Amino acid sequence: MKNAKKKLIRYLICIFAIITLNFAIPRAMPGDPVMNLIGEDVMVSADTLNQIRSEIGLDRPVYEQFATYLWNLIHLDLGYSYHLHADVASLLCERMFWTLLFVGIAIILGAITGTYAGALSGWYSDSKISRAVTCVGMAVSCTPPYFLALIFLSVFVFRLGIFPFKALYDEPTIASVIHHLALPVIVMTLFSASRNFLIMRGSVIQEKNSHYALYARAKGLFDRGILWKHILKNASLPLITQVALDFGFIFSGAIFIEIVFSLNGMGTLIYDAILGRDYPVLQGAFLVIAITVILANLLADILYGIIDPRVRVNER
Amino acid sequence: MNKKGLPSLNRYGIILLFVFLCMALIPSFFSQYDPDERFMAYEDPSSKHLLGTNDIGNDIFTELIYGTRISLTVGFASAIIATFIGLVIGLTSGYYRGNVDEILMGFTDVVLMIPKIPLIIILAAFLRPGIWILILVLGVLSWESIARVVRSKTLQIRETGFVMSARCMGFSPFHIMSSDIIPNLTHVVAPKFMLATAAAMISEASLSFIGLGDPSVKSWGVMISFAFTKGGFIREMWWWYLPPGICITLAVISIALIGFSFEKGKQTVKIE
Amino acid sequence: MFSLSLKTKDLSKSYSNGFIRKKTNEVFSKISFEIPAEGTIGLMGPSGSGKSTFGRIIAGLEMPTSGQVLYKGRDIRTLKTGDFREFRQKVQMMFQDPAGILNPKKTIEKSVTEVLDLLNIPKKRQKTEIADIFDQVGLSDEILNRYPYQISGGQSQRIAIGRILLLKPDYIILDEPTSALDSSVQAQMLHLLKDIQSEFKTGYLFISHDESVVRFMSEKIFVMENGALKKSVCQTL
Repeated sequence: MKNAKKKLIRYLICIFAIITLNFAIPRAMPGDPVMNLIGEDVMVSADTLNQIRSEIGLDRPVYEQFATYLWNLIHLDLGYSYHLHADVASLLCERMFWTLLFVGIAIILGAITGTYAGALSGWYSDSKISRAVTCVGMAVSCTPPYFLALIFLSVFVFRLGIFPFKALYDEPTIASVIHHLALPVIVMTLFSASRNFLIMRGSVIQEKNSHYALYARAKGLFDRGILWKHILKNASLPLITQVALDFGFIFSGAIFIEIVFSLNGMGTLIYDAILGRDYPVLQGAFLVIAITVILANLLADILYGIIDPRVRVNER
Repeated sequence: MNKKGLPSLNRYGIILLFVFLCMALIPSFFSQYDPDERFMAYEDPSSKHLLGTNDIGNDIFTELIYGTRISLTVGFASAIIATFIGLVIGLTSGYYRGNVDEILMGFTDVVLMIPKIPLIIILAAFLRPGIWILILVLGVLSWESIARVVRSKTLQIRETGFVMSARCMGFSPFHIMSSDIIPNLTHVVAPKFMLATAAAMISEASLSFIGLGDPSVKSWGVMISFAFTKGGFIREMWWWYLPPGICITLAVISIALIGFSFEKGKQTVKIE
Repeated sequence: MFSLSLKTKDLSKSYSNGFIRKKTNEVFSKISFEIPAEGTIGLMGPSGSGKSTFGRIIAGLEMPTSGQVLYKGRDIRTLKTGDFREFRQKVQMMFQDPAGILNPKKTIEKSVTEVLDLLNIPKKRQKTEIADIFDQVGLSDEILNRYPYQISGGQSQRIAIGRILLLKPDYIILDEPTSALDSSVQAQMLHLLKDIQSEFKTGYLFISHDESVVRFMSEKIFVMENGALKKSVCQTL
């Protein structure tokens, strides 16, 4: 119980830290804070600028500004994008949906394929296929995700023309969506699977070595089927934590893949915001992404606590 | 592990890294041009220009070779910063224990949970892109796993006979930490250091791709970004964007292999 | 007035777990004890009875939950830097675990010279000091350039004793010094310890679970049981 409490407190502190960072960064950075808060290259008249300046209240003391900021947050007001002429919050909502969709699918697919392939590879660790696949897995996990996406893009879209170039769909049918999302999901899955693969493989090899000697001695009780199930069970627990820790990393990778495939998700939103120095969007995106990742971690932690019998036994 | 206690390092990793180091240290050996020299733009690969030329006529092969030192520097420099911070925090936490440990570890946990890449993006977007700022930011955001690992090993080492003896004899904590504990930490820090280098290189490439890198310093990542934005992609100039990407992958693989071999060296029995 | 004396007064140690349900584990309580300036007191007891913890608290390496350790009549926690440094040097401890008794990354020479540096002994004299000490503990100087994994457990133990002797301590707390050695080497070690004691006139607190070894070394024996110290009935010969 004590551990769980500690962890929860840390999560809360973390969320609070992110909220505060989000508040502090634009105000601490070099340059005119108003520009930092509304974005550069924005065409507004001097009057509007002054109006904005007093609205944002940069002349008021810091804690008042912070209070206003928190107040806005609670009301889900993340500011206004002068570039795109829309509420940041509503922009993010639209885009986030697609990103989460594609990341979610990829993580699940990647976890399943990676884990299964990794377990097989670890079990038959001497076979040539296993070694070959491991090399491929290593190569994939060492490549920057966007580069992998670029290769796929140039081969499958430009050269072979199998998949469409950009956007999420031509007509709003599921078939079209699948057609468009297929390639990004494949790339993302490969990327997340490769990490899971390597970890699972290592974990199975370790388990195999620790049980093998034991079972080899007790030859009579040596049953491959039971051994396999037992190892899988033991080796899967660290996987859950790994997926949780990785969520942030994978989500970030997804952003780049979206940019490469020109999908209308968070990725392109952020990319355009960077080009146009649209800071409110960037801030809003940072907040939303960071909190999503932390919540995912929290969820995984809770899940892990429920599943792992060792954890339960210790709380007496 | 061989007799002297050094891990048997992975051959391929070392060879690869050695090649890259040569490219970084003696680039003129590999290419006779200067990376800023201009020729005809958009040329295809030929015997004069092994990888053709880019949009303003620079020889791509030369850019590739000269880009090595930048990418490697970013990787290693960030890792050094991260390792330094991680060592200090992990050592202090593990040696003094008690409240100091609780506070530092709580802090580390919180930092661990903050997703790095979004934070880097937002920081880089506000700060003017410059290579050293990039290195600093990358380094300052990667120390947590090093700190944790240093701390747990320090807790262990602290209870050994020689450290307790040293405390008993009255050596100063600084002496104990630097002379007794740190040298025994290399096995756990080395793989993490390599990992940090690899991660920094990938992050730099990714950031450069979305325009947050330092365009004045042509790292491999910047090369790919230029290929994408200056029409190399549309013209299917695979010789422009593929080689830097492959280099990044190979460099990261070599570093990862070396890092893994440090870890393997620790285990006593291994039936592969 | 107090000249040399090392004693404890009402020393207690307990560990507590958790803060939802507080479980206090009492290791020992209210022990008042004195280590003689010359001669050996043996301390026996089953594993986990707290003998090592007791030793470490007296050496100043751990904090008691309550009670005091008095050196020259003063509580060691109240000593100022200079006096505390003296306490540190004059009260030494030797640990079990010959494998971990020397820093595996340092050559024997480095392990020894760092103690000499600590004592501010000038480089020129260091060579002779090392030769003397090695003589004392029965080692040849050819091992100087080796690493701990290249020498035997018994030799490591001797180096450890040698390092301690460089500080010229008045008291040495020995925590299972021979438990990890095999019997022939054990006997050598015990004789060495006795020789050192007669030459340097140090007081020993000899902690061990091995009754015959304790009886061989000590004039008086105590047993730590259920958190208290009892004088053992069996006296030495």
